[in-house]
Amino acid sequence: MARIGNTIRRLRFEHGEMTQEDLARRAGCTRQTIIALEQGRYVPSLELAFRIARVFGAALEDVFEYLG
Amino acid sequence: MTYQTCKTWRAALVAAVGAAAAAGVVIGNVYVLLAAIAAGMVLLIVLRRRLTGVVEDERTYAVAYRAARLTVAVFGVGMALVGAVLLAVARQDFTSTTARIGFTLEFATCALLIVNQFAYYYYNRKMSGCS
Repeated sequence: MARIGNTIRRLRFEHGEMTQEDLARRAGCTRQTIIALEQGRYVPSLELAFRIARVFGAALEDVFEYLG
Repeated sequence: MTYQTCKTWRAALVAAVGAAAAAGVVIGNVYVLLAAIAAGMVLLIVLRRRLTGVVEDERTYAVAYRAARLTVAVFGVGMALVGAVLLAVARQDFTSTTARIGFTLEFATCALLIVNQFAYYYYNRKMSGCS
């Protein structure tokens, strides 16, 4: 599996301590998926990655990082 | 209705349907049994439609995909092996019960793989832009 890091946890707290549930609802996924993403156990599709980045109003590369 | 509320209702519904179905069996009335099962199915559909929020997403589909692949592999190999062993045990007596079970398992394995290949072919074309 490709190693892709993310800054979702930090971004959540920078956005008024947004809950995982709230982020999941706004990104259109389940809270379990957000948990898996934050723990690095799941690599999202391009679409979900864009949706999460849009929730934070950030560019894709500001949220996700390809670690090789 | 939230997912948690739905889970609670679903558990209560399953218990009620189970009790009604059991009552149908005890009193020997098949119509009560069938009615309980039918009502349970309808109510489960109603519950699912009233559910709000996301309960399935791409990760759950990915999990289901991996589980399905493992199931096909384990079940396919397992049935083929058990069927082969039973046929070997039956030797040339292909009318024996052992041989019949063996043949059933082998043909079921063939059917499983054929359906799997058709499904693969269908989704491969559908997801590659071919019409």
